[in-house]
Parts: sequence; structure tokens; C-alpha cells
Amino acid sequence: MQSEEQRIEDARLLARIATGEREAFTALVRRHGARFLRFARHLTRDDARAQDAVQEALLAIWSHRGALPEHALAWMLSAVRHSVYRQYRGARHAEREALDAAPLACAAGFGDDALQDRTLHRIEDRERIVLGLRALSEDDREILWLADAEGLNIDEQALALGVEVGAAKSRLHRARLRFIAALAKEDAHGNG
Amino acid sequence: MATDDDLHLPGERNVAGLRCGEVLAQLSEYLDGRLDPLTRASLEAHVKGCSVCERFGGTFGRGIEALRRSLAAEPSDSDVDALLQRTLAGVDEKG
Repeated sequence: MQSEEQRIEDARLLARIATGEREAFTALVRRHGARFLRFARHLTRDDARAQDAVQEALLAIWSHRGALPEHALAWMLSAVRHSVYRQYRGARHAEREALDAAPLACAAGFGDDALQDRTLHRIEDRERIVLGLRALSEDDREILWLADAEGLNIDEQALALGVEVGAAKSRLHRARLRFIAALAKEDAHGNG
Repeated sequence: MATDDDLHLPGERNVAGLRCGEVLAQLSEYLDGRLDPLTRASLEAHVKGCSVCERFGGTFGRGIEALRRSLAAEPSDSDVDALLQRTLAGVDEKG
């Protein structure tokens, strides 16, 4: 999560970039380039696609350098997100599944001690967590990144995703339940 | 407090004025510190009196903590220099 000092520094950099200052833009890339690449790679799971998408997003930020958004980091992460999906239009499928929350909670282990025991055992193994994340949709992975890696608050998550706050809240909670359910799920060999 | 997003779980109980489904629906908000003090207190009172919700709330919290640790450990990309050079070349082209 960003500190207030970090937010102020981002705002200062964007204000300098708005005047066309290349040094400030360079400083912004050095400051946030790694985090943008990590986010894009989290979404695409492909280094080359991630590089291309982040470069396009940075050029878009430069092109829109008159913008001085209130939530700078969320705005920039939104640019990365848009670039990922714009570059690969058609490769992403919108969430259409019925979000039946009661079975989701049960799949996540509510009321099932054995399932929860398996989850608690698996969270000690980072490889299991990585596998659990890979089982999720792009929609779920991106909101988990914004909330649980970047530490954006719910308003910033909604801004980055271009949705209403209520939709972001619902989406985050379901993504977290699906992550827990993915951890709990028995694998193909019936291993615990 | 009840919303359209509430879960209705088989066998759920009403403890301290909340159904288990209402508690589950608010777990993320509780974890993220987004509940007002009154709602937070009601939820905690339910969990104290409901062993099923207490168990699952603990599992959920620990699972998300493990997720956060894992995401934080994802390796930083060392190609920022290359990214910067390519991006600045693009800036020069655009003007």
C-alpha cells in the first residue's frame, strides 16, 4: 500500500510530466516500471506480452500527460490493464458465469472441517498458492492483485477496473472465495 | 445490514442478530477494515457464538494473508532499463 509521501511524490511527478518534462517521465518509469511489469505479467503470464503492454501503457500516460488524476497509481494501473486487454482484444472472455455464492462458500470449505484442514495445510506451500492463482480467471487474478498485492483501497480498485464501488466489493469477495476454493480443491490424483 | 449479495447457506444459524450468510458476505470488508464499528461489533459477536463461522473466518483470513505474502514475493523484473529505452524511443517518435 502506498504511503501519503509516495502519493504526493507521484502527483509531483505527474505535474512535471504534464509540462513535457522528460526527466520526470524517466523518473516515473524507474519508480513504477517494475510494478507495472509485475502486474502485466500477473495478468498475461507472458513476459513478452507484458513488456509490450506496459510500453504501450507508458506511452499512453505520456500522451495524456495533461491529466492529473486524484488517485495516480490506480489511474496508471488502469492504463496498464487497458493496454493488456486492448492488445489482445478477443483473447479475453468476459465473466458470464452465474455467481452463485452459496455453493462458492461451501466449495471454499464453509462447514467442512476436513476441507479447511487441507486448505490450512496447503497455504504453507507457496507452490500450492501459485497453482491456486493459476486456476483463477483473469478477472479474479486482476482484482486480487490490485487489492492484495498493490493494497489499493476499494475506491481505487473500482477506478482501476472502471466499475462501480459496489461491483468491485462483490468481485473482490468472490475472487477471494474462489481462491480459497481453488486451494481446497482436490487435485487430479486425489492428493491432500 | 442485509444486502442482495448475502449468502443463504444450508443449515445456517442466526447468532447475535446475524445469519451466517450475512457474516460470510462481509468477511472481505471485515478483513480490509471497511466495516463501521457497530457492524464490526455485530459480526464479532456472531463469530464468538458460532463455531462454524469462527472456523471459516480463521481459514479465510489465513488464506488471504498467505496470498498477500505470495504476491509480494513475486520477483521484480530486471528489464526496467530496456523498458525505459524502448518507451523513450516511442516518446521521441510521438514528440
